[in-house]
Amino acid sequence: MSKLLRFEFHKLFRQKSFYICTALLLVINLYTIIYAYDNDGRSTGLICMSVAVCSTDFTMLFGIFTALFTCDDYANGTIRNILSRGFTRTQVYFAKLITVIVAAVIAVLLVWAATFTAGTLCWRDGLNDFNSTVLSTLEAQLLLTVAAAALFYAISSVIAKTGASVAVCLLIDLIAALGIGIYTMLFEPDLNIAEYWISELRGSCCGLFCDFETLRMSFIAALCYFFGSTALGYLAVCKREY
Amino acid sequence: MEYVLKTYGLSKRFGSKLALDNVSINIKKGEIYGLIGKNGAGKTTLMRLALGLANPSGGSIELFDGQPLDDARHRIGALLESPCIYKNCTALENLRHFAILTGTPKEKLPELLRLVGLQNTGRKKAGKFSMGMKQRLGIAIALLGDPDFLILDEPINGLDPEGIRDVRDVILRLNRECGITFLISSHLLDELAKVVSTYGIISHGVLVEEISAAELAAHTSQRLIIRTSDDKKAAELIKSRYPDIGDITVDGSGVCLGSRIGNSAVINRMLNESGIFVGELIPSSRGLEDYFIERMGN
Repeated sequence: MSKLLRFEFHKLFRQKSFYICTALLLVINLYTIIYAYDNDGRSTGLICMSVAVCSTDFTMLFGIFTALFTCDDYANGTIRNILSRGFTRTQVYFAKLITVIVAAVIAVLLVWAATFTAGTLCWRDGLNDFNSTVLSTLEAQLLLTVAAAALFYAISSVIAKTGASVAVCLLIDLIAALGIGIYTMLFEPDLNIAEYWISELRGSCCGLFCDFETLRMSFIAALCYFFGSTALGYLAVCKREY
Repeated sequence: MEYVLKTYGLSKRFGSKLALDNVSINIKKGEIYGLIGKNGAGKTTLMRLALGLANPSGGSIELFDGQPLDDARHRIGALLESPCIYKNCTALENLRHFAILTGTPKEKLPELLRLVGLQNTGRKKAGKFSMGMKQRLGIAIALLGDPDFLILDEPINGLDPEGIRDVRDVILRLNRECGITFLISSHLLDELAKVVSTYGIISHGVLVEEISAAELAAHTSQRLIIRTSDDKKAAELIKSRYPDIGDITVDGSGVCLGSRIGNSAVINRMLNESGIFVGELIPSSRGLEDYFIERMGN
């Protein structure tokens, strides 16, 4: 497994899409801050940081990266080289998942660092507003991002085609909205399912003043998304033939 | 006898199609095993099952005399159908990626590239390689980690004559010097015949025959057909005079000898002296291709 992890990380750090998507995330976030500053906005480094990874840009760009990274071995057929060397499908699935999660954490940390620095340079750091709620909000954001990464990874592993995976990861919010809309129309549930969609949760778990209920829901949902998508993705690929 | 690969009644079904039917193959350590069969006969399926890329519908696989399959597969290198390479990486970068999986030291990689003749590809991306170059890179990847067993599916596909010779030399050298066992499939029978020590003939998913190169040579060597006034008597006479003559058959075409072909003049005189009139002496040969086509049921 250690060889497989080294192999995946070697690939990750040589993957152009990882650098391009992370760079784009940084550019978009920094542009937003500079734009706000130019228009006499009032903010702090901490506020900039607390809203940076909740955006749909983050979801879209990270979705594209995950699809490209995951499907690389399927598209090139190199998955055969890995499996024929005695590595099990379970090892391959989890080694890739761990790599995608690490990539997500790196991207979040970089965006946080960049937005906090830029916000501090433009206004002030705002660290006197830092409290346990802000910490929990940031933790929830990180956990939701990891859950989103696991979801994108599961989708890409099941589809195993670069183009289709990129398209689905890009349009996932639209597809989910459509699905939820149809379900609501047909079954008229009492519960507002849309609130539990991962992007909705990411959007609500944002800023310095998240309420306890939103945070609790975000933590639970993140764990459900993570374990649910990992289990379903694994079950779909564990018997696949190449 | 040590076996590298043994299968017991291996079957593989794709929907209603039985791609492999009860195949029991035996590949001894140190041999070069040639798998021969028409397109769709089940050669690649058998290799995929051996490599764990597909799951058998029935039967079992034994690698390296019963070593656990996943452990045993660490000792196998493979090139299946089209080479599996990262197209946006150079040849050396490709090797570097897979070297991590096999624990191959970086210093060995240029040597491997030299071995397959790709040492001068520089920064050219593998996606821009010709089919032959991709094939060579696939072979280099298969050789990573000093495998004890190499499975090569159509390894000389797309190679020019020089490339074919190079690959053949590499196979023979690795087999003789490093004792690597090979399972090779190819449509180029004459090329295969230059390296293979045992053949497995597969047809419609069934392993029709396993035959050593020596046995095959006996089957495909030259024959002498003698047409006489009394074929039966002539056969008995030849057998009594040359007890070591081996296969001697009588059919509608005459007396058929598998050996002593060089003695045709002596046999002719002996038969004439015994009162048997020799009408014709016809040297005939049956090639590899004819033999395989016959065995594959065509």
